[in-house]
Formats: sequence, structure tokens, C-alpha cells
Amino acid sequence: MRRREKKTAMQTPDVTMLLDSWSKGDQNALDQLTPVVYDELRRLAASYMRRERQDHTLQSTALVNEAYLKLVDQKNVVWQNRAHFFGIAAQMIRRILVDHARAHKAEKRGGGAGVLSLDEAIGVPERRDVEILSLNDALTRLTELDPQQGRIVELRFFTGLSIEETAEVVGVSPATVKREWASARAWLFREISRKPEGED
Amino acid sequence: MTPDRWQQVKSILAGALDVPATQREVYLRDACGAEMSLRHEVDSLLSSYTEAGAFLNTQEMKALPDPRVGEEIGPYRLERLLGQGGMGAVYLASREVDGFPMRVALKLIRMSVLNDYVHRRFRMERQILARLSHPNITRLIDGGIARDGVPFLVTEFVDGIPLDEYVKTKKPGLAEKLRLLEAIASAVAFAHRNLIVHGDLKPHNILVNAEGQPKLLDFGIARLIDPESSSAGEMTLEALTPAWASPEQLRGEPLSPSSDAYSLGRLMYFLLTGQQPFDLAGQAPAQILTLLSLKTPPLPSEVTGQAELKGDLDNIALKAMEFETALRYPSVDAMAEDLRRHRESLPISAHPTTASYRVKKFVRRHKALVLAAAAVTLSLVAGLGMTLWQARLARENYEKSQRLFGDVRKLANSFIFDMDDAIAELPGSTSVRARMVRNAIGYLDRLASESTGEAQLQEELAAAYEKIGDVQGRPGGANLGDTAAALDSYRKAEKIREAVFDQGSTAQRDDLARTYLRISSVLKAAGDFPGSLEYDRKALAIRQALLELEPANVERRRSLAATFTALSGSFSLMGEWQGVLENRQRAHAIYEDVLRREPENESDQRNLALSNYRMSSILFFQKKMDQGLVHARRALEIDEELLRRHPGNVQFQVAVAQDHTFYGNGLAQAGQVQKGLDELKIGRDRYSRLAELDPREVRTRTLLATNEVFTVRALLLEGKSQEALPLAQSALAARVKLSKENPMNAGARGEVAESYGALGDVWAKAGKTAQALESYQEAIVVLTALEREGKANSVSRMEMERVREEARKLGGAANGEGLAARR
Repeated sequence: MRRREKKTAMQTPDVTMLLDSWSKGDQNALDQLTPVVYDELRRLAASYMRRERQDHTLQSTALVNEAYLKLVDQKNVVWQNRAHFFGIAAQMIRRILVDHARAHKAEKRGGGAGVLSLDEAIGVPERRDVEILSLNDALTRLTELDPQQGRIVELRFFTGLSIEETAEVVGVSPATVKREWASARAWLFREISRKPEGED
Repeated sequence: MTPDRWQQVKSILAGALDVPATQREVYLRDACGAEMSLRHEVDSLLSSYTEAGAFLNTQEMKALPDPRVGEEIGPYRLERLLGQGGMGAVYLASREVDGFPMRVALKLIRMSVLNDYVHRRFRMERQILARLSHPNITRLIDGGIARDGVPFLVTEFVDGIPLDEYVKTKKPGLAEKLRLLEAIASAVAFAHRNLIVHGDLKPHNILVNAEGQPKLLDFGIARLIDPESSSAGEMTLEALTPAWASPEQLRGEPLSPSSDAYSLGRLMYFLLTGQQPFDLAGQAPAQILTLLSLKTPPLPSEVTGQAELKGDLDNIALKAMEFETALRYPSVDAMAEDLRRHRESLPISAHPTTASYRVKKFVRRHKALVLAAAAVTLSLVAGLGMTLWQARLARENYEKSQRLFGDVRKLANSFIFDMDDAIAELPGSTSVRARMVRNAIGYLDRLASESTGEAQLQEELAAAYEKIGDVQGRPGGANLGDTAAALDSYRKAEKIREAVFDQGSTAQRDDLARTYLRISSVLKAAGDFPGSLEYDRKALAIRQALLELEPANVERRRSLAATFTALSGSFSLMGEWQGVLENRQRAHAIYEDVLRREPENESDQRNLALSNYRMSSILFFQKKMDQGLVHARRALEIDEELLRRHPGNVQFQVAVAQDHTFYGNGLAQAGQVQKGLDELKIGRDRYSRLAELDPREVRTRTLLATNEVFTVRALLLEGKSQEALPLAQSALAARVKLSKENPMNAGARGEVAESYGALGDVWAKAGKTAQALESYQEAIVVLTALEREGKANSVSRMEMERVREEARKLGGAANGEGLAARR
């Protein structure tokens, strides 16, 4: 048992340390972190999948939580780094979903064997492919208008964090998150409704 | 849309969603005003909001399926997930005991590495916890390491609901809440007696079962989680909940019973009010810590409006939640005892913390000038006509100062300095300043006595003392006329600044020179001329050395000129006329030179006007009337130009009045009596108007009396004793009053004597010998007293000569001794 842990430790860079460096402004650390977190998210999702619980959709929050607990040394991590971690994970999940939606659309057009993958484990029904893509575009525009609000949407929607958890990660009050979330939903909905469905 | 526009739209939208639908139209009309495009945008988003329904909300709150359910861990089988937290997941699990299933709670703990040592400790601690048997503590039954290396703990399963939910749904009455609290306190106290602390007390960690019994979960878990730490136990912030943690925990200090006692106070507060004392959600530990150190929690009775909480319960909760451990209950037992005594209506040990006590504590903790300044600011605001002194406002200001410590320190300084400068030049501001000074001195003294030598603070303290001294009694400035107090404040600044002089920057050295000059100026007013001369020379030495370091620095030149002027003042008071003339010439040359470099600088213009005035004064004295009149005329021209540009400025108004007075006096003395009287009249009218605006202001009244005496002399040159009499009497009355207000001001007493002398002259001219003699004798009494105290200046000695001579001419045997003996 201990041997196995050692091996894992050698293979993966020290996420706790990388988080720390990144939070201190080291951009290289982020570059190293991203693949680790991404892989872990995929690996976890796959292990959930093996348990053959396709009747359930897997909450992305649980996935991120699990990845966090696995990757980060709980004893040495400082509180703020948790926020950074969720920040990365939210972007990651967003990317995974968008990639999948694009691939899925392409697949429908061009055929090819479908492989059940992470995004399906995260539980995004097919009909939401288009929605995800236009949401992704709209969210990119919102982020240009208001970076913090964009981040709140990312955390809320893509990792399913609650109002309180999002507040904790972003470092604002829950009341603020609530307000931002409400106006973001109105804005995003309008943006998406303006476009005919299917347009990319 | 631009980001700015979006912020505007967003905020109106949020506001619209906050108000009831019926009031929305009114709100929107108000918020958007006449801007149609803004209104359209908000309307469009509002309808999107309605249409959006649950858009994007769908992912939230889905039940978490758990892959581990059904798994066997040791002899336990996981039945369902009960909850998940930072430390791990808790499952309902079961184990078959003698053929019957026993239900337990099994917690899987996230822990990265387990070595043998940690493993041993983990087992040992578990055994200790297993012995912790109390009806209100969930008992630890078992624990171990699962096959995949995850440590787990097994406790009795409590079929209950968390305390916060219990309070929300069951709405227990006050007595019931207090019963719960007492039970919880007794459980915590019991654990403390067994040398175990909880470390994470919060409503969510307390379950209330069907019988209404509270059960504490996770006892000692904190210690188990991190068994490598000291025996007192430490816990990473990750694991605990910052919003409920004690200040010590937030600082990362070891767990202690006192920390549990604090959390218990927070629990009590929550039970009484249904909420946290502050909105702490989303804040980082450091922010929470700052907030806790600053804010006094609002009283539970005020939060809830329940009178029954007033007194004991307010006091117990707040005492338990004191920021500093020393002020809290010494033990949970002591708090439990107070709760019991309250229930039995016995007097309790907790007392309310008074506002002044809080202030003291605060100052002790932070040693920050901010506070002094904030208080000054408040008194200032209050004095400026806000009729309500709002305690709330005061508190908010304190908080603000702390949160933005650095910024506010600057801001607060600017209140002491800039604000006062601004106020000083407003008519009618004297009473505001008096109140401000009283408050400020108290705070500064306390601060100074508690300060431990932080350089920045020392500098600020010195500057503040100096400023306060100015307001108290800086001669020549708008002041409260309290020379003794001013000297006291200046000496405090001197002491602080001399201590840092040797290591000090050039700015700090110059500061000391300025303080020296302040001291010199009050010593002059107090009649200590050798003292003032000494201080002037000390200041001059510093400033000459500083100019040598930076010969091109204009500011240093100005400072040097001011120092020559100060020195000439000391010579003048000692009657060293050559010294006066030389130093004034030096200063005048510098001012002219500086103004040539920066012709538009108004402060240099004002300095040059003053320098002209001083030149004229010494020249008149030396009977060089023509030269003197040129300077006096020039001073008037410069100041009139300044006043024309700034008609509301009191300083310039006074200056112009003074110039007219002085020029008029010069003209009269030079033989142009009528022209002089006209100038004097203009000056007098200006003074009278200023004195009406602010009757407490000393400077204008002093100057008005001077004008009256000059006018009396001019009138007497024309033999107009009838006209002179009321002016002489008015000047005398004003000067007597001024002198009584500030007995330490020797100059003011000299002026009283001068007025008696002038009145005597009027009587003499009018042929009233008896009255004249009486007035002269009064003058002699005052002058003799000054002489005896060593406070007579050159002018008063000359006045003594003159008055004696006049009296002799009238045939009276007037002398101070005789008169004093008769009285």
C-alpha cells in the first residue's frame, strides 16, 4: 500500500507546492498544474464510470472535490490555495465540456464511433451540446465585460459550487454572488436566446 | 456594451430584483431617470430573467450518488452518505453484533500520508477519545485504516438534525435554547477536564436527537487529524471553518480550552439571535481576524429586539466572545456557572464592556495614531454643526480605520492637519477647534504613553503635538490663547524629535528646527527672551547647516528667512535694535530673492509683505520715517492684491487691516496726521467686522486694540482728546480681558500697561490731571510687576520711563511702590 503511494508521488508533480507557487505569481506553475488536474479529473471520472452507475449523473463538484483531496496535501496547503484549485478546475471542466460538445457535434455530422468519456460521466445530456457551446461563447463575452462575474458563473455552473462555496472561492460575500449570479443568468440567457439554435 | 455600462446596468437590475414587483416601476423610474436607453436595457434583462426560469441552475443541488455505498470497511458496511465536509465523508454504516445490526456513523478521513509513528499516535488518541463518555458527546466506538489506506473513525449514530436546522425548523423558545446551551457547555467542560479540546464547535457539529438532547460530534477529531502536532493540538485552517473559529485558531495558534470557550460564545450568540455577529461568509481568515479584532458584536438584545436578553445574556455572550483570551471566561465551567446563575436569577460575573474600556483596549492593541485622529475627526464633524453625534457613525469610523490601516492613517492625519488648516481660516471656527483640541490631547497622551518607539508613529505623534500646540496658542496664528498649554505640547514634540535627530533625515532635522521656533515664539509671548533667543539660535544652526547641504533648495531658503525673522523678534524684545535690523534685512533679502525665482507663489508674496511690514516697523522705531513708509506701503499693496484674489480668506483680511493700521500709524507719526487717521479707520473697520464674526478669536481683538491705541496717539497729535477717549477706554477694556484670559502672556500684560498709559495721555491732554495720574499709576503697577518677574521687554521698559516722565510733568509723585503700598 505504501509502495503504491510512493509511486504516485513520484509520477505527479507536487500539486500543493505548485499551487503555492502559482498563488505567489509563478505562471509556470500553472502550466505544470493544468495537465495534472486535468488528468486527475479524467482518471476519477473513469473510475466512477467503471462502477457502472450510468443511471446517475455525476456531480462535477464531487469530482473536483475528490481530485482536490487526492492531489493536495491537506496538511500543508494554505487556505487560499483551495480557491485557486477550484478556479483551475472550473476552467478545466468548462474546457472538457466544450471540447466534448464540439466533438459530439462533429461526430453527429461526420459519424464515427462514440466513446463514452468524461463529459458523459459529468452528466451532460446530448441536447445540451449546442447550449454548452453558445453558453461558452456568451460567457467569454461576459468575462470580457466583467471578469469576476464570469468567474462566478464558471464556478457555479461548471463545478456546481453553491452560492456559499462560490463566495468562499472568489472571496466576496454570498449576497454579492447571489446578485452577480442573477444578473449574469439574465444576461447570458438573453445572449443565447438572441442566436438561433445550432449556430456556432 | 462597455464594462462601465454593464456595471451600471447590473446594479440597477439587482436593485430591481430586490424590490417587490409592485414597487419596481417606481424604482426603475428613479434609478434610470430620463435615460431611455438605460431603461430599455434593464427592462430587456428583467424579461430575460423571468424567461430564464431555472436556466443554468439545473446542476445545483443534485443528490450526490456515492460509489462507496455498499462497500465494506472493516466489519462495517456503508449504507448511505450522511454528509461531506473538508475532513472527509460521513456514512451511515452498520455492523452485525450478536445477530443484530448496530447502526453507526463512519467517517472516512482524508489524510495523505500515514507513517508508522502517525499510525501509532492515531490509535492511541482514539483510545483516549473512546473513554470520553458523556451523554452529550457522541461516543467514539472504533477506528482504523481501510484497505485503500484511508483512515476511518466510527462513532455512535445519532438520529438527529444539526443544531442550526433545529433552531430554524423547531423554533425553540429561549428557555429551551438555554437548556441546549447548558448541556453543550457541560459536555465541553467535561472534555476539558479530560484534557481534550474540540476545536471545531459550530452548529453543524451538534446534532439534536428526537429527545431534544444535543450531541456533540467530532470531539477531538481535530487532534486526531493532525497527531504530529504538539500535545495541545494544532489544526490546519483547511480543516476547520474560519467563520466559526476563534481568533487564536485564525492566527494558527495551538488549540486550547479557551478557544472552545470562544466558540461556545459564538454558539450562544447564534442560539440567541439565529445569526452570526457579523457577515463572515466568503472572507479569508486574515480578514475575519481583522474584523473580529475591531468590531464589537451588536448586542443580542438589540439584534433581536428581545428585552429579556438585555443584561445577563448579552453580557455572558459578549464576554465569552471577547477577542482577547484574558478577557474571556477563564474556563467553560465558569461560563456554564454564569448560565446556571442566570437561570437561578443570581448575579453573574460578566459585566458589560464599556465604550471607554473598548477604546482603551483598542488603543493598547494597535498603538495607532489613526484612532486619535479618527476621534478628532469625529469631534470635528460634530462641532461643525452636525447636531447628532451618532455612536454608530463613530463605530463605523473605527472599523474603517482599522481595515484600511495605512490609508486611513494618512487620511486621519490629513484631518488633523489639512482640515484644521481649512477650518482655521473659516470665520467662527474657534469653538470647534477648542473641542477638537480637548479630545486630541487626551488621545495623544495615551498613545504616547503606550507607544513603544515605532519610528513612523513617533513622527506622527510629534507632528500632532505640534499641530495641537498651534491651535492652543501659537502666537500670530488663529489660536485659543492658551500659551502654557501650547508650550507644553511643543515641549512634547521637542522631546520626541530630539530623540531621533542624530539618525534623522534632513526633513526630520528641519522638523526639529521648526519645533524650536514654535517654542521660541511662545517663550516670547511668555516674556522669556533669553530662552526664546536660545531657541532661535538653535533653529538657525540647524537650518544653516541644512541649506549648506542643499544650496539650491528654495524651501530651505524660505526656512532660513523665517529663522532670521524669529531671531530678530527676540532681539526686538530685548531692545537690541541693531540685531533686529540686521536679521530683518537678511530675511528680507532672502524673500525678495525667492520671489524673483517664483513670482507667482502667493505664499512667498505674503512672506514678502510681512517682511516689508517688519522692515517698516524697525525703521519707524529708528525714526527713519520715509524709508519705513515705503516698506509699509509696499506691504499693503501686496496684501491688497492677495485679498483681491481671495476675498473670503481671513488671513488676508487680517493682513490688509494690519497693513492699513501700520501704514496709518507711520503716516501720523511722520506728520501726515489726517491721512494716517483715514488709514487707521479703514483698518479698524475691517478688524471690527472680523471680531464680530468670531468673538472668541484672540488675534483680531489684539490687533483691534493696537489700532485703537495708534489712533488715540494720532488723535492726540491733533489735540482731539474727546474723540480719543472712547477708543482708549475700549482698547484698555479689550486688553484687560485678553490678559485675564491668558495670564501667562506677558506681552498682553505689557499692552494693558500701554493702554493705561494711552488713557493717561488722553486725560492729560483733556486737562483731567487726577484721572491722568491715576491711569499712569495703574500702568506703573503692571509694568513694575512685570519687571519684578523678569518678564519686562524693551518696549515695556521704555513705556515705564515715558509714563513716569509724563506723571512727573503732571506733578504727581507717582511711582509703583507708593501706589502699591496705598492699595
